[in-house]
Amino acid sequence: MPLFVWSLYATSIIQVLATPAVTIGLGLIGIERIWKVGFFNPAMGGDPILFQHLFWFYSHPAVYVMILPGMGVESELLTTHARRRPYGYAFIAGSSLAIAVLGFLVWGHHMFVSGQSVYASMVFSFLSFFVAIPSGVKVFSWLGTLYKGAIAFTTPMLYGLGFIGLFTIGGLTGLFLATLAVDVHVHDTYFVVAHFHYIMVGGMVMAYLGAMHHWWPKMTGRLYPEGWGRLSALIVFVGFNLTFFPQYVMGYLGMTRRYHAYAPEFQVYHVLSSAGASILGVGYLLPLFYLIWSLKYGPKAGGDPWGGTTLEWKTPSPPPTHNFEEPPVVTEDPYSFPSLEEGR
Amino acid sequence: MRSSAPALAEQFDSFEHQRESSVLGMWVFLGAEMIFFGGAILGFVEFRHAYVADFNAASNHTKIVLGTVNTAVLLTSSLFMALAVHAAQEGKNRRLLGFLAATMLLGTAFLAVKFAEYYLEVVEGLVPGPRFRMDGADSRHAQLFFVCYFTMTGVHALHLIIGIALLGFLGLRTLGGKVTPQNHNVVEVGGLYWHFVDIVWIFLFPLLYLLGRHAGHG
Repeated sequence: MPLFVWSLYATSIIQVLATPAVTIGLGLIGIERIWKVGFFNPAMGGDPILFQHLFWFYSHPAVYVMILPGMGVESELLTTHARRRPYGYAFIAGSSLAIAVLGFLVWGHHMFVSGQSVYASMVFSFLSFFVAIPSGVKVFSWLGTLYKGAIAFTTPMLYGLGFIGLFTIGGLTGLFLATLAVDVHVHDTYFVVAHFHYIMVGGMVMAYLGAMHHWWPKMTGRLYPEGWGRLSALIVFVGFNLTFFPQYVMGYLGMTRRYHAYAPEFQVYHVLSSAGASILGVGYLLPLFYLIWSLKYGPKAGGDPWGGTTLEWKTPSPPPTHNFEEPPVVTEDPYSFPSLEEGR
Repeated sequence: MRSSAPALAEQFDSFEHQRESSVLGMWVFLGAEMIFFGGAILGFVEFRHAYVADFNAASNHTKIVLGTVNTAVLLTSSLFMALAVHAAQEGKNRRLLGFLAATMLLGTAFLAVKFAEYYLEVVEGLVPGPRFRMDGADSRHAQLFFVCYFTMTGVHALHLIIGIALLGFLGLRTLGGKVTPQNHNVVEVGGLYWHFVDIVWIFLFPLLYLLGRHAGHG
């Protein structure tokens, strides 16, 4: 089974089991607002921390809902464009499930300074460190996949490589935030903003763009101009780092989030960040143009432009209504790349 | 007997496969439901912990006799549901229909008693609102108890109404000859749902009716 499917399986578990908590939270808010009884509002005798618990019990797993499909995409991009079997298939698949399970046990790390019990914070801190293990397993498995691979620096591969670098930085700074004492210092600063964006934009948006370029020929039957694709991947990578890396620095120096006014010494970081955002914007807009252009003028892609081995590459592009003329018989695993061994 | 062949959906290899998939699907749904009720129960337990005396005083105003009768009614309905599933497995569709009807009847009886309780509580002025008063307790905290009470029992009653409708649907499927020993999973899945609604009540009853009384006398 392709690793992307495993990651979607893990995502589905989270979606089904986490969402009801926010449903009941919303229901209680509705009752509080309409009938003016205090569940969460301290002025009416309610408890705001209860709301935070219900909210984060959903909303922390929700960030794994966002990143896990990206991790699945990453496994597909690297294997296909390096023509390598995944290194440690069982570990990559298993770590997706481990992240899904552990993701339910760490919501309290958003609440270290909310006034919850210190002992609860200690447990949540400890468990948050645990999430780093399956994440680390994934990163090292991806690196192992690339090792001795026939790496083609195609657009999807460039996004895939960007994902590894940015996700690693975002993940490591997550450990800073999971550390109780450090979190008191950087809580509600730009450090948190930068961490979040390194995972969600550096991770998920890179994976999204990588997936877009990887499966575009399959979806539309047309190839996009590879040069423009690589250029946009490069611009996105540079622009992203210029936007968010200064935010780590100024957050650590004490720039709080959600304020429009700030001390003059933070000015230079804000200017860098804004400049980076403009570059990032260009990088995001480019694909909009060349992808639309490719719909009409792009060369025909054929069934399998990348030499992919998973089932979707064994049918014409774009796929016919029922995907296959007759059901394919699967006789080998999804990542058997014969051409690499033959090509040597 | 109208014996239309039992339908095996296109995506499944065998009836066994189909049965396992639908049972798993219902369990996943029940897992989600558990988290949903869990959130409400968490809120209740937290407020009870914060305002023990007021919650105990308020709990003494619940209708313990009616609540106990209702617990017995609902547990008995679960027995009939289990018998219905058994009858479906053995292909005794006549008995299946009878047990489904008995389950629905008891479910409706539970709702009738529950609404009678609500009526008594409305008359006593226990409904949260600007005119809510309770002597011997902080009215605002006691009101919170009744907010939790009406929310949780109300959502539970809603689940029960859906359950009764579901059993009616199962009865129609049975009449239409769609339930066979080979393909009875609709009844099994419906049974799982019914037992879940029963179990939720098993948690709500002690939390809302018994805990406060016990503490009040202890």
